Amino acid sequence: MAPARTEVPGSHAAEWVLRRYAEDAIVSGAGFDQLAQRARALVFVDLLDAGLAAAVLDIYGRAELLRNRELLWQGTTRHQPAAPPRERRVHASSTPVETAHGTFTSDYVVLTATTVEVAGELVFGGRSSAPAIRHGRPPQLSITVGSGPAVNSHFSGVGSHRSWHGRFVAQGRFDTAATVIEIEGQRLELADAVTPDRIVVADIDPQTPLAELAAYYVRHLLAVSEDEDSLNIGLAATTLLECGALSSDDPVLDEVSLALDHRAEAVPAAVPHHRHGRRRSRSVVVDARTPEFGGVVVAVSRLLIQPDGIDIAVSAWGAPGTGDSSHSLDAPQLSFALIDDHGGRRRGRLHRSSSGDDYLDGVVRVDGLLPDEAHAVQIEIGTERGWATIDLPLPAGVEE
Amino acid sequence: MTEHGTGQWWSLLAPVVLPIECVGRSHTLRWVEGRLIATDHPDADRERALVALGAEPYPCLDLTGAWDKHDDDLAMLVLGPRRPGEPIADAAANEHMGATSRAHAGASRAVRGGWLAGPFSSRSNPVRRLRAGSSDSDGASRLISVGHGLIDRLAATVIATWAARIEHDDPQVEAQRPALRAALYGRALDVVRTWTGDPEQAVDLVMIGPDETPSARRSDDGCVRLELPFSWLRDVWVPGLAVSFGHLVVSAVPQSGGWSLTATDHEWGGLRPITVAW
Repeated sequence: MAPARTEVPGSHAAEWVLRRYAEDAIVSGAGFDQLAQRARALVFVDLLDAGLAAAVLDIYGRAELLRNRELLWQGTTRHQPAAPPRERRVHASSTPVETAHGTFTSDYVVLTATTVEVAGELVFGGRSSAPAIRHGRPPQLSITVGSGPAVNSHFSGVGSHRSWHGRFVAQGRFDTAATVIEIEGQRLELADAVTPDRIVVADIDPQTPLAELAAYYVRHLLAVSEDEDSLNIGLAATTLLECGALSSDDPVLDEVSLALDHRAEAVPAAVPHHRHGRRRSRSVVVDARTPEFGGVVVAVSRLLIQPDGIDIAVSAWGAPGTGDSSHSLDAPQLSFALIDDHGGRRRGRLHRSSSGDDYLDGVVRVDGLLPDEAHAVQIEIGTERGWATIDLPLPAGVEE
Repeated sequence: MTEHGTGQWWSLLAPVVLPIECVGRSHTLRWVEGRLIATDHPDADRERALVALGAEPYPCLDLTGAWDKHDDDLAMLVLGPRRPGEPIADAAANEHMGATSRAHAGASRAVRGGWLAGPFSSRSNPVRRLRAGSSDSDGASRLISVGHGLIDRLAATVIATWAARIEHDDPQVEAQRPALRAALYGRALDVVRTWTGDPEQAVDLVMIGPDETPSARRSDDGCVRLELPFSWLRDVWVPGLAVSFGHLVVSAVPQSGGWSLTATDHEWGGLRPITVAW
């Protein structure tokens, strides 16, 4: 009797698939930028140990380095992960303040025990202010929280020669229960922000069957990926298919196919229009923070409801890589969606304004008009390992 | 030196003579019969003991020591050539001279806490398995960077070692099957693409056991499907017989005064024997 064929056993199949793609890259000189995405998919569905995946990427990264081609990863140093602040309060505040740089109108104030952040718009009044920013000298403002000492804050943001949108941020020790701050000696009352009716979080059940886990991962990528990241979805799907985590008739593959086709000829989604005439922006300051889910904590600070869309100011803290998700193996990627109380569901796209290795601040842009009749929205946030929903009432807010 | 497989595989490779400056003198390293020998250090054990006690290191012994660490290290088949003589030594020299291995840093990042901590910490350490004997990256870089074909000889040595382990049912083999198959796949892929002249030729490879019959065919979808034992690397790839007389060779058996090859031509009409005599 002929001896049995010696095939790689199933438990090694995922490692073999990853190595095979790596060998393809070495032999063809194609580079490794797709390898980490495949590894992430295999690790997510627990077909491949994360340490082993990292070791495979490591040794093939060195092989690539020896061939003097594109490197796999940017290096980084170990550090202590940043923890979300224990107490964080968001206040509404819209009183204009005259400063040496011009008029600053705040949108909202975020207070923690160690930072104060005043977000708003600075409209330049003096002739020299804008050039000063252009030449690398962003303005500073003196901020006093409650009865504490005055501290210098630094501006970061974007804008034109006439005005800048951004945040003044100062470090120190602050009273998070303060109800008043001073900017350049001018008093600002802090008003309560809208708080959520309900926050629900959930992590993926570790006993989730392989096929469901794989489908969840692919759907998460569909929710996260921007147009230019469509390739990642295909890489993950084919890798999971090849390792048997997905079957070829899994409905999620049809979703991938449809989504990729749709993105190839993407057009803006139809916007329900319930109001005629000119419509102004509405700012709803929100004080909402999730418990930890899927390895991250996410806070929402404001909804800016505009005629052509909704901007949601968010912050996130979490596992290493939260703020830097491009090609690393360990970067959770956040997806956002907004559901109004009329059933409209729209995907949001995160635009980072600042980020570290394990935190980010940014704005989630949701295209389309929110119906006038909408009195509440639900913000849905997903990561590879879990998801959260934040139910928010929508009071009138501040018209801008 | 670890065990080797059937026959004297090293007899197919020319010896390497490597001039090296060692403690102010011109010394010579020789790769011969599958081993790297510091010919100017007849009492190497005593000199290593002196170095351990603080004496000036001997570059010759550093290299032979690195060789001994890596002569069964499968990582060398990842770092090493996919085709004999592949030019990778210059880049290795750059790395050895101090360029930071950013890929290394990336992997450190990937295995640290957070999202990866759960699965990594909950199992036996697979990195240790993968890197068994391969943690001395500096020594590996030095072996690659010295040039003179030494990395080709090191890869051949690692291949011969693992081919023998497979043939002897060594229990270490099981855990390394993906790495062994990948080492075989990458080199077979390069051979097939070179042979067909198609840089995008798809290849499917099954790593068969040492007693099984190898095969090569082209399927209807154009994919070249190979069934090869790991020892194909030792018996065919290392001696440079993978493409002989315009044929793709799937096995090579030394005979008195020549070789008996089994190969296919571009017509894919089936395997046929080719006798090579000299």
